Amino acid sequence: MPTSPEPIPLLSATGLVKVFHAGGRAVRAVDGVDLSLAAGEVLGVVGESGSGKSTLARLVLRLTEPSAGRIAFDGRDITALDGEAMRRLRRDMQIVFQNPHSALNGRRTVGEAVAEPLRVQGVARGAALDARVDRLLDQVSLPRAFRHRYPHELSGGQKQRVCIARALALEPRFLVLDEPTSALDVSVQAQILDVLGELRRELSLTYLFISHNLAVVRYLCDRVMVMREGRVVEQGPVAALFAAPAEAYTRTLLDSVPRLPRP
Amino acid sequence: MAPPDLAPALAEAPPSFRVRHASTIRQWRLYAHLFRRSFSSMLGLALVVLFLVLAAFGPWLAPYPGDTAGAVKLSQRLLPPSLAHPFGTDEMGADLLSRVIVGTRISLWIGLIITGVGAGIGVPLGIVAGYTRSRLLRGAIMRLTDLFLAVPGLALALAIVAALGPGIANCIAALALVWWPGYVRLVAAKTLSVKEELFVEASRAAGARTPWILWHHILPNCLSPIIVKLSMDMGLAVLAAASLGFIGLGAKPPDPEWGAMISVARSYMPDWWWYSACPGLAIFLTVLGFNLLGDGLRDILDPKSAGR
Ligand SMILES: Nc1ncnc2c1ncn2[C@@H]1O[C@H](COP(=O)(O)OP(=O)(O)OP(=O)(O)O)[C@@H](O)[C@H]1O
Ligand SMILES: [Mg+2]
Repeated sequence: MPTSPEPIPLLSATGLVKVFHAGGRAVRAVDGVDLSLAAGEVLGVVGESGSGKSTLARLVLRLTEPSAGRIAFDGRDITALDGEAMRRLRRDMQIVFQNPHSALNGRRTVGEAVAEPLRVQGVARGAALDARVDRLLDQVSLPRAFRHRYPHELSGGQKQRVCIARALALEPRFLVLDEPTSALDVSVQAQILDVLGELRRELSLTYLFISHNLAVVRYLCDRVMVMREGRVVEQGPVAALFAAPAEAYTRTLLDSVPRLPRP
Repeated sequence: MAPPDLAPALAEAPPSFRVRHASTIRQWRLYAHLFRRSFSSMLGLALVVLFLVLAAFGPWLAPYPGDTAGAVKLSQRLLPPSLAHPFGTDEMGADLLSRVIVGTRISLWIGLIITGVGAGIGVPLGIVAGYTRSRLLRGAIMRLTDLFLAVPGLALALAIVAALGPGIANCIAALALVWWPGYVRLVAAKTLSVKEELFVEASRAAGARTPWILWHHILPNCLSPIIVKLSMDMGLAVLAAASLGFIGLGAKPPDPEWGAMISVARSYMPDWWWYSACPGLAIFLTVLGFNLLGDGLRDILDPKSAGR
């Protein structure tokens, strides 16, 4: 399915601001961020801890209400979309959270977790639902028998695969990956990244990929955006930005990680 | 509405019940193992099972089932404990053990209704208070709860019974009406913490509506403390109902209700001490049983709050 070059980005945000009021103090977690993602593109977001990456992810998915700014998805302004319309739109945009250990309800089986999006959106039920859950588990290379297990019986990497399967269930076009590997062992990280890379090719997905691991960003992303204290300090194509970072902050980020050879 | 590209389920044999629920079975085994190791939990369970059996089959287990219907055998008045009447007889000549056994059903029903209605009102209110983003709604529910909690439940129930008039139905209604605030507190606090969990946000990100989230994510995670409290409260509710019966506001004496029996027995103290001993022991063992069971359940289901 070739995506003809189209002028409208799949996702765009302008002037996004999120102010949290915590303990009488206002924290500008995201402070005037513009971004734009073409269909099929992978945009990396990097920055130190607390720079507002997760908040940005929640904002573009409207899981958190922005204090200011506009968000458009597929050419349509979704900033003020009401509950029911937003709910339907969620079929197209999904998220994989930072911490797979808390992203799964310990009282529900893997099968129930993966089936949940399909059930709440009324997409499938009965035998069709079962078949679809099996296929999703196949897609993330988990044994089908895992559907009867509870999260506490799974390893971190397996849990994250479940989360990915759940995020893919509705066949979204846009996926936010909020540090999908940061809670995992190094050996498992590579497997998860492989899964994500493959899925992207197979399903022609668009990713917003958040990470503070620059080696990973380099491996997966087309473009990268560097954040600090809620602002974008620098952005550009991965190769260019990594070869010649313009900002001192980006250089310190680059220097603070061990360099891996390009795969 | 399934898309046409969905192949029908592959022709594998569906896994057996044991396979599908292996995880659940393992979990229950673990619970059973932990529970069995504790003597007090097992004692509590044994007592609760004993009283449940008495409640279910009382009329068939009682040695003199006829004595509960108000038979008068003047020749056998106030007999001390003997082989024929292990707990003696009352002023009508009725076998006390039989009356207490048959009374079990009344007492457990009272406990069940009171805690059931209490939880039925308190749990939904607690979930709403904990989950809502409206400060006003939460404030209203919590203030009302605090108000009820500020007055001792039994005193409030007394006032309600006094207004409605004595009787077992009014007694149950009054106690049920004062029993819910504890559940609101418990569930609201738990909901407040569970709703911040990532899996709730994940569910919302998938497009789940609030009722779905409450039912599938919030409630299941509140269930352990609710079950523990239900067990503890069963004993307390039985005791409260007996207290009302004792002061003459609950069940009326010909009924074999434990509190009412003790209230009559009071005037036969201390010479005919066995009259009050039998129903008193039944109340004591019921409360003890449900409390030990609740304690044991807490240790396995909700170990973090064990110190409270
Ligand atoms: N719900 C909230 N209430 C108050 N402050 C918040 C909230 N969420 C985030 N913040 C604050 O906003 C800032 C940005 O947080 P955010 O989680 O977006 O950072 P991050 O870049 O994702 O960090 P990390 O790499 O550690 O995940 C932090 O200072 C954080 O304390
Ligand atoms: Mg984060």
